[in-house]
Amino acid sequence: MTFRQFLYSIKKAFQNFKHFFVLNFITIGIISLSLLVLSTFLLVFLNLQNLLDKWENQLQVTAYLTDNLTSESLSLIKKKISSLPEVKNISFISKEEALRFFKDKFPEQANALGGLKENPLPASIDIQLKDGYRNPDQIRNFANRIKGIPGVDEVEYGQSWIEGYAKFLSFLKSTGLAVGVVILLATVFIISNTIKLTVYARKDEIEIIRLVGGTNLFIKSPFFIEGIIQGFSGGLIALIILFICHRFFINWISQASHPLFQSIPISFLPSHYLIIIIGGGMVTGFLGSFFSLDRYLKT
Amino acid sequence: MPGKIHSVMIQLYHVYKDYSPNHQALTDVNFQIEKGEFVFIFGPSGAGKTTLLKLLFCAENPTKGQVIVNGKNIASIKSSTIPLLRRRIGFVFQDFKLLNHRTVYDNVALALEVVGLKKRVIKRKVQQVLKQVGLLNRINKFPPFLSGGEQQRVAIARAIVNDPILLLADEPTGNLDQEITREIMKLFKIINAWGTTVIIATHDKNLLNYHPTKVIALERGKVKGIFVSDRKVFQADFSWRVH
Repeated sequence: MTFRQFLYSIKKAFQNFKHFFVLNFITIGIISLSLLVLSTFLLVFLNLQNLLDKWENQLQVTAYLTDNLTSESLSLIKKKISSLPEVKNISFISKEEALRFFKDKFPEQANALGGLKENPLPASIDIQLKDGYRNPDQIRNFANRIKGIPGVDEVEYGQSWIEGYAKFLSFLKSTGLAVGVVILLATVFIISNTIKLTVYARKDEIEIIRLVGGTNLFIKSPFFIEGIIQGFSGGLIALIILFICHRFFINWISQASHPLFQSIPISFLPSHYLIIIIGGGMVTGFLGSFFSLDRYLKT
Repeated sequence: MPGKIHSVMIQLYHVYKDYSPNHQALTDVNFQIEKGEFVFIFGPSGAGKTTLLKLLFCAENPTKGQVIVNGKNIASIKSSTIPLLRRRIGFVFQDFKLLNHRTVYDNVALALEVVGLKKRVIKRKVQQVLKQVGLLNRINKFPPFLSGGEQQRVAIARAIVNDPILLLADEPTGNLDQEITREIMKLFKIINAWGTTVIIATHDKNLLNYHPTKVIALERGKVKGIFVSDRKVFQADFSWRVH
């Protein structure tokens, strides 16, 4: 194929785009919808994962200490805990600080404690764990070791919550992967079949170009370019719609009264995902044309 | 009557074409067509005329035998060189096969665009050929706005714009009335006079009467006879066509 013929293919692709506007409009619409479903799924999945990561980062283990510890044994406990490989940092909360926090946080119940002669709240050490040591098994294991240190009375790490979180995380990962693969395959299937229909609608044109001596590449090129344009346009439209929906959703939750919603960070898809979605649309458009054309170019 | 190799356009030796064991489109077909000849392939529907043209146009391969077009054996030709051969062969169909969403100019130019000619060369050649077929005033029209005869002339213009060595036409006047048929046949004769070998497949005996010329008569896939068209000969051998 000469350069002139290549330029001709580009020109013809755009001309055909105009000639078959309705057909192309429908094709792009279907590609947009398919990619919108896929990118919405990705957006939800990524934000859910971000949220879980955020919660995971906030996980900490609290070691409640027995009363009447000497300052030597307290520093020994701190030293032992700090020396463990999982520990990122620790912060000591004395009995007095614990009482103050309690009063600040629950002022209505503060009077009940005021009636007691002694402060019933234990001193504690909050332990932040390093990245990579925060899965439920590791935390459980770590808590058991801390519990064995003399002077540590009780260890708290939100056991039941962590078990639930672990189950949810594994459910999300496996289901997310399966659903993602199904949506991806469905998207590829829908796009390539939609393009097949556009090629089918123009089988006469293909036949005529063959009859006048057009090579397979000459026939295919405008279709490839059209497929790529359709994939690009479909991907771009899907992302624009998704972005608008995302902005609306952010506005909506920022007005929601529940603080839980307000604390959830909802980000848009990262830039490399945008490139992957648009690029994926273009590749699928190209491949859709590629495989659809073969049946009309046998002889 | 064997001709000199350099003057032969088409040679068929014991050509068979089977679409299935029960459907033999051509059986032991042998003939030769010289360069510059005007030939009718004549026979009723289902005689194998279209199959024969498809073989000459590389749209089908023979099941058995040799088909040689301009010195090239169709059976052994590479698929990548088929488009190159087709650029030297014009084809005209009964149903015109025009692109309705492209203008007359674009339809004719298509045959030159596949070759990769420059835009101004294409423009010049298209205008020239449309003038020859009398359609220069229709250059920017779309096929659905043309009469049947005009559409067929566009198809002929597209077939000859590349200066083909061979022009094949499959029932080219099948959809046209008598007057238009006469015009189209005149056009084929002119094209033939320029030196192009013209082969027309038809079931219409009236077409043969326009001028005496070579006729290859087919019946049920076999060559029934090769004659110079003459009403008397046809009456003797083709009573099934002549009242």
